[in-house]
Amino acid sequence: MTLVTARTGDPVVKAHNLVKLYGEHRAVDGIDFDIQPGETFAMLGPNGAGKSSTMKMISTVSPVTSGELRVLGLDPAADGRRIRARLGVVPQEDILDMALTVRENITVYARYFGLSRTEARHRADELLQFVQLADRADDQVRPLSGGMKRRLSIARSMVNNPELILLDEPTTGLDPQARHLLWERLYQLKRQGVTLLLTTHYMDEAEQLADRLVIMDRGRIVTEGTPRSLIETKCSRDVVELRFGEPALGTDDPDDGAARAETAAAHLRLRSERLPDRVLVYADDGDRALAGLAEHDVSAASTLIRRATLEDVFLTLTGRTLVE
Amino acid sequence: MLPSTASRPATAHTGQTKVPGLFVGMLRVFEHNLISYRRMWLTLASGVFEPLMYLLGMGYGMGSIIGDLSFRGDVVTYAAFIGPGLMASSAMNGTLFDTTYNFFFKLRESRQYDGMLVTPLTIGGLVGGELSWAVARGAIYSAFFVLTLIGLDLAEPLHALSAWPATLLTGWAFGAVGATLTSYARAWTDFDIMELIVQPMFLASTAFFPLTVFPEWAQSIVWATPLFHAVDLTRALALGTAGWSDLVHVAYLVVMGLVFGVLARRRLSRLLLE
Amino acid sequence: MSSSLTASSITAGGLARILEHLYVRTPAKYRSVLVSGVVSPAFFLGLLGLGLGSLVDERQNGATTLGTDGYLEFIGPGLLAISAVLWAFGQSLWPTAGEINWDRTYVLTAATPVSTAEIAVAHVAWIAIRFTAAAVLFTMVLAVAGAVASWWAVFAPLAAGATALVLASIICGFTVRQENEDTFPMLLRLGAIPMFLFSGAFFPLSGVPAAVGWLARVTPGWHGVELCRELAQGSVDSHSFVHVVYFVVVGALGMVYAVTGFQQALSEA
Ligand SMILES: Nc1ncnc2c1ncn2[C@@H]1O[C@H](COP(=O)(O)OP(=O)(O)OP(=O)(O)O)[C@@H](O)[C@H]1O
Ligand SMILES: [Mg+2]
Repeated sequence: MTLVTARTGDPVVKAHNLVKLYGEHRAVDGIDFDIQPGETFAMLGPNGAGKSSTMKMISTVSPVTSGELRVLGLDPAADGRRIRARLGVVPQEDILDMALTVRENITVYARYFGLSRTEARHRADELLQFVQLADRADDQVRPLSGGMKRRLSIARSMVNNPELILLDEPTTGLDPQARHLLWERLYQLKRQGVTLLLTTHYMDEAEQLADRLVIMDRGRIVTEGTPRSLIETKCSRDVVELRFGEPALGTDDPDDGAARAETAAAHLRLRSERLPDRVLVYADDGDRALAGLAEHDVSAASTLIRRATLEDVFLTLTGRTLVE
Repeated sequence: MLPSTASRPATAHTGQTKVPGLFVGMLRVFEHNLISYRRMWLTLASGVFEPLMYLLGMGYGMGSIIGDLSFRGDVVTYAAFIGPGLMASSAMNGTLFDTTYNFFFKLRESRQYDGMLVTPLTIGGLVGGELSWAVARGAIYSAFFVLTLIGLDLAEPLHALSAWPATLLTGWAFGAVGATLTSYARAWTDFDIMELIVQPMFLASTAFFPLTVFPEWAQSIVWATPLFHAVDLTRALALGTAGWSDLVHVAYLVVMGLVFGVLARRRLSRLLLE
Repeated sequence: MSSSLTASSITAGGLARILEHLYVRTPAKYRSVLVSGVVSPAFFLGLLGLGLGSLVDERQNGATTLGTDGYLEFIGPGLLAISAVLWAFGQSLWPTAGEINWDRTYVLTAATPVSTAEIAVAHVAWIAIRFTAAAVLFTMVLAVAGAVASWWAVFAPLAAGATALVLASIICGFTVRQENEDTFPMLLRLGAIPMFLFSGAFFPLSGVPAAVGWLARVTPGWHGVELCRELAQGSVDSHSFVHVVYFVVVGALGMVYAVTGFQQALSEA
């Protein structure tokens, strides 16, 4: 596995054999990773993989069950307060204060970080500009749209100029425009040297943003690397997607067709994966693979040749799709 | 526009950031509440009417069919008897409401505490801050009560003033109990059970009638309840008949506040930091 | 348009469906009926009827101010009506706002073939139905305690239920017109507390300034207390009929206020 050589310097987050138990349930089951200063690090994985649980341990609001965790070189159990002072947290579900205005949601939190009232106000205006909410500064929070609330959460997490920001599914529920705005903002932060840790269910988001990522499943890290290296080493360059129509349409029975495609792929020494609605065939040269399949009498209702994505990597590794 | 890099505190990356301590944390929580309630000043102000209505209704209305009563040998009008009793019970009700229903809402519904705890704020600061806010709000209402007692000539001004700290103590002690109970509540309907305890305690607390109305055996039960101590202490101060023996009341409430304060902190850190 | 017609039509079938939904989703309903119907009245009667009562009876010593034999007979039916007042305030503010703003159940319900008017009526009725169930138990407790002197008392639960219904319709109409919950404590202070104190449940209104007394006579609380007491005492006369007329007229107005409020709130939600 081609692990990216991490840049030197003390890691911002360092986890070794990290475990989180909720009662008997192993939410996080012995994971190792480190995040270097200035890096954007992503955690991927299906629902319940343990991403948020890991985030909560890093933000020191959930005690570590066992294993080692250092955040900003400090121990979360002993130095929680010192760590939180230098951290920004965007929780998976927005926690906003409905009794306050948009601006007050930032200024009041700024005070918890020890900013003076004038500093807090100044900072709030700056951040509201940053997430394009300046015109809603004096509005109540309740009537904001979902995406606006998300942006406010993100603005609030930056109030203390954090060195490390934890973003738990930051773009879930955002429209494409707001998503691109956010990506662009995260780039800006990254350029300023801020370390980012994010979880996401969107492959394009991970490919766009992450320097490095881990894929988690059932509390464990399944694999780790740069987006590109993972695709190259864990998967093929191309993927052929074959769809088989309904029997009523006069084509092959879908089950027969899919079975035939799988056998054909095996003959061609290509790996394949059968999904409820299609068959994927992994190949370094998609065109040649498709031609080979046709020679084996595979006639699908529709075919598509595309580049492999992280989704395919995950499927290859776990036999399951990433988004459920 | 970009948040200026220049405004990033130079210290941030060296780990020297000044971290607010426990007391500062409490102050911040207090300030947070103050800002939330700024738009609700009318609600706060309408608290003026409460003592007035209770005293007019219970004091004079009930007074018209009861007449005078004696307290520790002094004969006083029913309104003068009931005034300090109502003042103590309203101190209890006010903070109890804040630390149960309001607390529960922020704990479970809006999950606001989860948001506050990803800042340098600690559980101690959170509980202390919420409790002191509840007590402060109660203090305003008690002050209205003191003024009403003086205005209606139901107590000597200095005596009425001396009863004010007793209501703060009452508010704090019951607030700590409320916060602890809240940590055990799973749903709104669980507060029914609290009401079941609070209501009879309120009625029996001697706020409305003297302890001597009860048969012997019931008197000792009433004596064991915290509201009795709050009412008796407040009344003794307001009517100017307080003595050293009233320190028992103070001790009862102080111990209750401390024990439940510690318990609340422990329970809530288990709930919020899971 | 036909939609405005459907939005305000009320059918028994529609009401039944919403009530069935409310029945399923109300938590701890039997417990709360039991608490309001038995446990709480037992404490109130024991501590106020007997405790405070011993004091009042000793002072009154046969005087006719109360119009009843003793304080227990005076306060008993009064407490029944007063708990209707407290119940109506308790259920019509935060829990009602919760249904609309937080749970948003009614937003979903309104998307089914039932009408908004039916939602409003069923919501208010559900508050009154639960209280009436508690009131039946409450009246039995009164009878056992000896605070009831006539068979007319079997209608007391209905009188108390009507008090709850009329008040709940007005308060729910208010609640659904509010943008947030900030005004609720004020309504408790300026509505619930005075009605609790000055409805004549605890003392006859002759004890307070005449103006306060006349103001009290406009409220559902006072009519409820008087009617319940007349029923429990068996002193039913033309006065009692006035109370009934009051409940019908004010109840109808309250229901219109609630229905229009729900229609407004659910069309915006
Ligand atoms: N407070 C808690 N108490 C008990 N179990 C919990 C708690 N929080 C999380 N879990 C369990 O731990 C496991 C991991 O949950 P976690 O929230 O970390 O998943 P996730 O990777 O963030 O999933 P998602 O993509 O759905 O957000 C799940 O099985 C979840 O039910
Ligand atoms: Mg999660």
